[in-house]
Amino acid sequence: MFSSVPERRAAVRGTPDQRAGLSTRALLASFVVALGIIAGIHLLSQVNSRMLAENQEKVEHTLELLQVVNSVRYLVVEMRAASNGYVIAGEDIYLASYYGAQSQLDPAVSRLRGLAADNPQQQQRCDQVGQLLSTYVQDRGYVISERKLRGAEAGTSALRSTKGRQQVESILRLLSDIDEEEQLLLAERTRKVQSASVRFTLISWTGGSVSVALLLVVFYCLWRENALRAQAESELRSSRALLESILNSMGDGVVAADPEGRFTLFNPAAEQILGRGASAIPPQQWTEQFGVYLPDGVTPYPAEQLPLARALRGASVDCAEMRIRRSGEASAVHWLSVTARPMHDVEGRLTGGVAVFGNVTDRKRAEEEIRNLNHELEARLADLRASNQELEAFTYSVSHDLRAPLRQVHGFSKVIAEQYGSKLDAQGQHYLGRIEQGAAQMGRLIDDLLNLSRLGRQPLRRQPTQIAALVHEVRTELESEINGRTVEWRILSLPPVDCDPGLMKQVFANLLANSVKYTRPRERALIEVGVSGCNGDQAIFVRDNGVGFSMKYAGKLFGVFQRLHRADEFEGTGVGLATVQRIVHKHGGRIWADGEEGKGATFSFTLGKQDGEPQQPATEEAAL
Amino acid sequence: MRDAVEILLVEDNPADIELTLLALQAHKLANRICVVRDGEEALDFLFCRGTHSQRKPYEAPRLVLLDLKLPKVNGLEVLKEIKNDPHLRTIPVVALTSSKEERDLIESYQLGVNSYIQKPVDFDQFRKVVGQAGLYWMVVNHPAPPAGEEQG
Repeated sequence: MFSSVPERRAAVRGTPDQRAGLSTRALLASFVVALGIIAGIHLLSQVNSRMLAENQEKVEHTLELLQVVNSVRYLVVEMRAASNGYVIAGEDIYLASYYGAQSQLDPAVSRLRGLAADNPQQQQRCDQVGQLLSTYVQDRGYVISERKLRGAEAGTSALRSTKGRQQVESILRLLSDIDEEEQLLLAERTRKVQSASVRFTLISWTGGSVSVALLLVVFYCLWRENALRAQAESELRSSRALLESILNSMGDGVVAADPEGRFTLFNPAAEQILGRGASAIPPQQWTEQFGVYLPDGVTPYPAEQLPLARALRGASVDCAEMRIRRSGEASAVHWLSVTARPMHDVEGRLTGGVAVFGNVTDRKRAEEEIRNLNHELEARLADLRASNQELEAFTYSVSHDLRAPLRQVHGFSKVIAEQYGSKLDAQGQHYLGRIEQGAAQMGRLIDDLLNLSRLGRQPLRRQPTQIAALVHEVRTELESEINGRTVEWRILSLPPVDCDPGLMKQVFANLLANSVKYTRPRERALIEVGVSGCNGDQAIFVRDNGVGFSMKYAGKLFGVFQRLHRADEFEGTGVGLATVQRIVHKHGGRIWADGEEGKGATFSFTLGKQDGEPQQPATEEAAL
Repeated sequence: MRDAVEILLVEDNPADIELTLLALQAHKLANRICVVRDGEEALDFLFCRGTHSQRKPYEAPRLVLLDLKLPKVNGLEVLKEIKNDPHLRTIPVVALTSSKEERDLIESYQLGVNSYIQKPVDFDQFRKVVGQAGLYWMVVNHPAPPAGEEQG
């Protein structure tokens, strides 16, 4: 998975899809809410307008009513004045003015009634006014007719009898009431309208602000989304650029195909390795197109077995090897190692396959060389082993088979000496002695050689060993050699050692026997055994104050059959030290000697942790 | 006093035969020794068949000195036959051989050899060893009762 810093950050915020879902819903909600508020406000404003319009109507209505009330008031007053004037003056002009007013009364009253229709109380008052007016008109009519018909006095008495003034006063009072009431109503209504208006203003301002705020928020969110998207796009671009750059720079070829086998990716390295790939070659023809062969180099690779083809069927292929023949080449010399995988989308459907391959021709060649070298080595190793074994077997059987005749030589010479010795002169006996000695020496040589050769065949059996005990055993066994001489043994503390006890005993036996042998000329022999050196480099040493040797010949000490002393001075086979060295080397250790002619010799050796024969210094002879 | 063979020496090399006899003589053990030259003859002798068919079973030797390297039938085969036979297995068999091969040692003891001696090259040593072995097995050691006599 391509994990870059921007992607990781995105992961913390939630996947883009998740975030998108969330904020889209929030944005939509906010937007809808803002719209809702605006619509609401608009609706309210409509309501308000209507209310104001209604109010306006009502105001006009009231004004009209008041006007009508005034008219009626005026008419009534006019009628009273006119009728009173006629009663007094009797002139027609007053009559005309009275009838003029009266004629306007009915329409006015009915108008009044009509205008007061919305309020039952007012309606009642209007009805009352109407009634009173009609009564008054009736009375005035009577008064007028009295005056007209019977003169002024009749008129005046009629006037007095009809209570005109009270009537008018009641009417006027009623009208004032109506007026007042109406004005009150108007004031009331106006107040209500005003407060509603104020409320509306408040709501509309609040709602407006909220919706503006919401819209601002929505805008901000959208803007930020945009910015993020732009950023994501640029990140995408840069990561795509990186991917492309990788694909273009890779040494290995990368090829991807869709499930139908059309190539969707063919990087430059692939082109270089395979040659140009046309985009629309069906998988069946890939073998032919690219010259692909099985590792044998001659059999064309079965097209449906090609790793990419198999990946398109859902299989995974690792490090499939094949050879290709590029155009212009006679045979398939180039080796490819191909790894292919199928590709899936998030739902697990197969979306294609991708193969990665590299030119491994050089590697194959190197591998083959290594294989060949290995074979050679093995063959040589087998040869060496065989010849080693032969050598060992030869050595053993030779030594072994030499014993019997040797025994016979020695035996019979002994028998002759015993049974016929008296018949021989001194010289003859002397010669027989030589024969015996020769045979005995040969016997010792054979024994030592056999021993040395056996060492080569024996496996080392390491175990923690108390070498102090070995040294003491050997010392006891050498008592007969010491034979009464004065020998001081200084055996220092020896640590337990991981070694083969049998072989280690032989080491000490040989070294100590040498010490005993070469200290023979000494009055007082001193033989020391101890440990020298420190920590990692501890060495065991055997030191004596015997005749020693010259360091000039130190290199010959450990050779087989090499001796630094004459046989008549000190007997020996010259195999003892070679044997010791063999054993020490088998333990993975080193051995060396220091000596001074006439003063003595010190032999030191280390034992390694691992078995084996370490570097052999050039001066040592190869062990048998 | 029966004229029985007391020691059977199985050895093919004439020089070695002579030396062994000399060694045994030195210890006065050479009275009744029979020498056979190969494994087949050894078995014929012990089983009283073939060239030795006239021998009597109850005349089995008291000691067998057996070289391992023999022609025809080799020493280990002879040893095996002896130790597998219920009548002969009680006879002490001493391997007297040049070989100190671990293989031979192991197999001999597996087959039930009573003693294993490597012939020293030095003749003095050889005499001493043969003498010691002979004296031990003929004088010190108490043999098994002869099966033939029991059954009469």
